[in-house]
Amino acid sequence: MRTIAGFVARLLLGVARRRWPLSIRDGRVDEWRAEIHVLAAERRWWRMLGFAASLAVTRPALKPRHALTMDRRAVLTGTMLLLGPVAGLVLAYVGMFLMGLGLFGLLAFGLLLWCGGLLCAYAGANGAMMRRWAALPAVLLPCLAVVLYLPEFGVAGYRTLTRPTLLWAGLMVLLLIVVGLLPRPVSWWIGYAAAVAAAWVAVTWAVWLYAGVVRLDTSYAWLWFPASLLEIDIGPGPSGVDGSVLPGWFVVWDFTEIYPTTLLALGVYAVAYLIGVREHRGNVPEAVVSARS
Amino acid sequence: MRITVPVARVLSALVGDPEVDRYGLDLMGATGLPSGTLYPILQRLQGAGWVDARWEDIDPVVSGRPARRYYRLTAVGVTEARQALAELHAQTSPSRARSSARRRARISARPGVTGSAT
Repeated sequence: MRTIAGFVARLLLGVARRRWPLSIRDGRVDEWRAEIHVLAAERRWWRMLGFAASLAVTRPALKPRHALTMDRRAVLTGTMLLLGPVAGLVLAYVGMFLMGLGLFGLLAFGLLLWCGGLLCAYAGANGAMMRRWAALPAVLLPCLAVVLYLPEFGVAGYRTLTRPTLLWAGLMVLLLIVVGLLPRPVSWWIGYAAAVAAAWVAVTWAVWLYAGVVRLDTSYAWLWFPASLLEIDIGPGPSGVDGSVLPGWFVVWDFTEIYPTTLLALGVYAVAYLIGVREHRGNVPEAVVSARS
Repeated sequence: MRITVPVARVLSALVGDPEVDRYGLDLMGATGLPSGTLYPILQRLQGAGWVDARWEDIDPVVSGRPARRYYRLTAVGVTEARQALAELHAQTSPSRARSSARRRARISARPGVTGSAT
């Protein structure tokens, strides 16, 4: 009991320690350890655990909080990096649903995308990874998720998405480096336009590859990205896939599904993340920036 | 200094005998407050200059335990604590309900004292 209770109490004090300001936390821990030692000597295990647990679960309201602590920033950044790709996929699904509603749906989707990008940028700007290169995992993680996820469909054609997705990731990395060097007003426009262009290139290549696999006319490939977003029925003519005659655009549509909207959502997310981080750093006093660097 | 009920309990325990050093566990027992509430209050009282803290003067090797930290009200703290507790008592006393309404206006005008127990 003594060993277990002591171990748990030490763990709890470690958690409690991180809640206090750096300048006083060591003194506080010494003080708590002295009390814990007395309680342990008196074999008051539950009292000892209660003492440590109360400290661990209570946030010390020493003064009004003006900024996020490092702990919260780390948790927030980790959460956003994990939830960002998921949010991108959810947005893509929601966007597909809304686009079925026509022009209103498209506008609503654009608004959702915009709000999502802003939210992600805001969360990222308050994150612990206050570096420009922090945008790279924001791009590469979703990219890896897409590359690993799509072949799970088990359809041979979907494997053709891997190379275009890697191309898109490479373009996004270059784009983010360039956006990071551009001045503020230009970086917004160029960043989002280039994110659209990168998605367009990747989707065009993917459709071109797949159309070749199913022996369709590849000359429509470059139109597929805007057509899929605007839900315009364009594309190659009838095909004889699976022994039946289907409209070619239907076959390609079935293949690409959420691919264009996913790339677009993730690209916008990455650009918004990078710009958000950069602008946040621009608003932080020099001393703080140098301390973080 | 914002005088909340937990703060008032700590002040009450300390002002009972201002010459005696109190330590964390001791104050927890006297106030009934958990450690997570007590230590932030002690830190705030220290910051306000009402409480002074010092380490116990022992040799941990000889004593067989780490040194404790002792707390005691400062001279300013004794005065302020007594005044704050008196005002709090005046506000919460049922027999003085009428007069407390008048006093409340004066108390709330004092800088640093909210005059309400939360």
